[in-house]
Amino acid sequence: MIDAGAPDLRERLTLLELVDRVLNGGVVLSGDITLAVADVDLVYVGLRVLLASVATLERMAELEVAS
Amino acid sequence: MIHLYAVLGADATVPPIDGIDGRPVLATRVGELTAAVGVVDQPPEPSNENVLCHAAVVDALAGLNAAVLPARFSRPFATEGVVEAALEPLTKQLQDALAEVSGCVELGVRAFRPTADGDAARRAGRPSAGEYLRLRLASEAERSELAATVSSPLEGHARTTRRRVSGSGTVLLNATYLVQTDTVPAFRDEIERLQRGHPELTIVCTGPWPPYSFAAVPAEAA
Repeated sequence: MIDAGAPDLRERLTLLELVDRVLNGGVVLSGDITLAVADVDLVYVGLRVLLASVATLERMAELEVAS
Repeated sequence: MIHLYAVLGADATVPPIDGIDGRPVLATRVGELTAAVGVVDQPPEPSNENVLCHAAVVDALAGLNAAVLPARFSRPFATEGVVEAALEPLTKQLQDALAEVSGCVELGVRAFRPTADGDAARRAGRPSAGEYLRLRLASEAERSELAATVSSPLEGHARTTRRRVSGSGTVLLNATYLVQTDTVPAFRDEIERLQRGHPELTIVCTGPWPPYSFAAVPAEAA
């Protein structure tokens, strides 16, 4: 999902660094887990998963539900 | 649902811009704090587009406010009331964190060394297990020392430093520094000086970023 068209290493590294900070850094407040989620939560916030394709995410979600 | 972009102080300036799903960025006062939020109809996916949008909003806030605590891109809050209930008991910790990052930006530094570790072991032919371990230990010590040689002068320009655990192999140093905005040129000069002094390394400095790595507060109120 990272733009494969990014022209050079520095730009790709900068993008990865930014995404890493937004997903793994920043302040986390406990209120966000009081949201009642009735459906299967397909949103797994993590850099390594972000790098997977959406199709892979859906496949992973199916496997998780099945297991 | 409420998506949180950042936490700021009471006198925060929130720019009149749109965030995720084209919804305007709003300010919610919670006592001595301000939450920069956006209303969303469903939990935003951590797609490239949404993540970059979140980052853009945080950037805009950082451009207008000396102290910003970027929020992690997380699941949204059910209501504004839940946001207030989450922030209020952490007011003191959040204010302390805001004071710590005020006037500062974050700079990331990675130092790469192309020669892989274990070369010494390979050059020794087929060492015994004990010899191999001794070579590896010496190699680890040398890596540590070299990483410190690069990081120490940079730490001198920073308010705080976070050394990430770097893997073995080519990544010698992976660290992030909280630096006062007007110290950034001196920090960059130091990077260039270190690069000139260590031609065997590739030193990459990214940023400046809003202080994502220095925004965390303890989950439980003290």
